[in-house]
Formats: sequence, C-alpha cells, structure tokens
Amino acid sequence: MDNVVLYAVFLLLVIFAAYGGIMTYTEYAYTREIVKTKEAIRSQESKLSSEEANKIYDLSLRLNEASTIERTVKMNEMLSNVEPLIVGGSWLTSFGYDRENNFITLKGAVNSLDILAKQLYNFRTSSVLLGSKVESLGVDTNGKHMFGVQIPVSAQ
Amino acid sequence: MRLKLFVFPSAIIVSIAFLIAYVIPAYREMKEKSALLLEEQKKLENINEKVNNFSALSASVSSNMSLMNGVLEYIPVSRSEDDIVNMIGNIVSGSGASIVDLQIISDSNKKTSSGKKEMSVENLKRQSLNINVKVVGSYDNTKAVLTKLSHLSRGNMVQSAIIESQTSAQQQTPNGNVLVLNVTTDFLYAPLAKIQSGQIAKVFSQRSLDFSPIANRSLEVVTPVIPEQSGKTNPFIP
Repeated sequence: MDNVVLYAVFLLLVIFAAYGGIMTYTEYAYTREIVKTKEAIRSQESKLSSEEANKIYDLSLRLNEASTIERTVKMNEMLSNVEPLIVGGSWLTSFGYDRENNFITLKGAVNSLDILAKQLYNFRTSSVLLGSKVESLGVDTNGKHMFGVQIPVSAQ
Repeated sequence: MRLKLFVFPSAIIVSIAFLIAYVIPAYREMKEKSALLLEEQKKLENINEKVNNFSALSASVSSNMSLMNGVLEYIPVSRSEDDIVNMIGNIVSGSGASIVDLQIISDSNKKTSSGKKEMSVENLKRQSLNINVKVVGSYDNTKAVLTKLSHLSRGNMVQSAIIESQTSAQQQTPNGNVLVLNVTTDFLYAPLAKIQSGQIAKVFSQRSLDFSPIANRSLEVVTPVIPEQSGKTNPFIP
C-alpha cells in the first residue's frame, strides 16, 4: 500500500517537473531569444532609416523619375519620323503634339488631289507612325488642298 | 488505511487537472513562442540582407558622386528658375532661333512620380514648373531647339508643342522658312524624400542603382549662370 502512495507522489512530481521544465525552456529558449531578436531587428532597422539611407532612397526615387522622363516622347524624333513621309508638292503648315491626349496633329497643303492621295497613303502605310487618321480635308481660297492628320503616340 | 486508498485516485485526478489547467497551456505557449521566434529570425535575416544591400548601395553612391550630382541637377530640390532661364536662353541662341516669349504658366504639385505608381507609398513629391517658350526660326532652328530641350541636363517633359509656318502680309501662302515654335514643358523639381518611420524602402532590396537614365544621356552643354557684381544707388534706372 505504501507503494501506492509513492506512485501517487511520483506521478505528481513528474507532472510538476514537466510543467517546470516547459516553463523554464520556454523562458530561456524562446522568450529571451525573441526579445534579443527583436532588439537586433530594431537596431538594423535604425540603419535603414539613417541619413545615408534617406539619401539613397531619395536618389532611387529621382532615378525612377528620370527613367520616366526618358521614356517620354521626344519632339525632335517625331519630326525626324515625319520628314521622310512628306511627298513632293506637299508641305506642312502645322505640326502639333499634345501630351494629354497623346497624339500628334499634322496639318498641311498640297497642289493637287493625286499628290494628296499619295501623301495620305504615305501616312497610312508608315511603319513608324502607326494608326494615322485623316481628321480634315478641304480646299483653301487659293485652291490648295488642305489636310489634317492625327497620329497616336505610343510612348508615355 | 482507507485514506491511503484514496491517495492514488486523488493524485491521478489532481495530475489530470494540473495537466489540463497548466501543462497543456504552457506547452501550447511554448509552441507559439517557438513559431514566433522563427518568424522573428526570418525577419532579422531579411533585414540583415537589406542592411548588406544598403552598405553596397552606399559604397556604389560614394564611388559615383558625379552621377549623383547629375541626378540632383536633373531633378533638383528647388525650382531654380535662374537655371531654367539660362538653359532656355542657351539652347535658343545655340540653335540660331530667336525667342519671342517666355512665360511661367503654372507651378503644379503632383503627388506621384508616374500614374503606374499611384498605389505605392514610395513616391517623389514631384512638382513641376510649367514653362511656355515661343521661338521663331527656320525648320532646322526649331528642330535644334527641340533636340537640345530633350537633352537638357534638367529633366523636363514636353506637354505640348506646335510648329506653324508664318503667313506674311505680302504672301498668300505660308512661308515654310519662317516657323514659330510654341512649346510648353514641365521642368521638374522635388523636395528631398524621406523614408516614413517604420517603413523599409524598396530600394534596399537591390544591391545597385540603375544610373542609366542619367549616365547614358548625351547632355546638352549649357554655360552656367555667371554671377555679376551687383548694386545700384537707384534701382529704378535701367
């Protein structure tokens, strides 16, 4: 019967010991390690918000912006693209670009209808300026044939 | 003797109760803390990598000071209207055209650096000075103005431009040799950006900066503003 008491005490001791063991292990192996790791994170994070870090951050944003600007339409390049398309007997009276609507508008005049047709054909079949659309046609007081063409611009 | 009979069952009941009330929650807490530690360690590993990247970026910037200054010149922190006026004067005269008008249209504040990035917190507080320039010259002159404008060392985005031939009183047809260029462009500037507290900037996920938008440009050489000795007893005399 004494053994029964011993087993009972032993059982209780094992349970208490298990509890104590878990608590101690949690404290040393995890709780304190978590605190140390969090401190290390904070310390490293402070490096990433230092003055030098701000300088690099600002620089990177400016470079992103510069890259956006670089991708915008260059008017001189657009003019160079239009130049080879103008046929003899045809001339431009106006060249316009509007970034908001992102298209260029060409207005011009020609001496005769056959030249006008050739000019419009050149715009329509151009491999550089795609999607041209004839916006207006007419004849001015001097008998010149006038045209207006809109060309969408793909760049930003 | 009777008491001893109750000891073992009582011990079992107490043990089970203790197990349920203390040991199992303690074990669960241990598991949770173990998972939390793992998470924190991953976070630390990630931050360590970012700190290493930051060191590499810092070294790269220190060895590219001229490029860094170029970036700050391209998108300065202030409006610097004197630079803009000087640059426009330089490119117009250098192109053989004549300036007819120069106006500040507006000074706009734009929240984001580009439409695509509107959702991101990381944006330059971009501002722009909208300038309108009107010049007269030949086709080559006006084209040269536009070429030089696109190669300026100061970032600008052409908003609109129109080249028109002039019709003189004597001639009924437009004169293609005298053109009027009316260009409106945004000269950009932005105050220094600061990392928001608690935020880790995306730039620290990379080990180098792409300087190509500045480094690969063939910049238009502009004579800088030369300060003159100033002072007048009557500032109203021309």
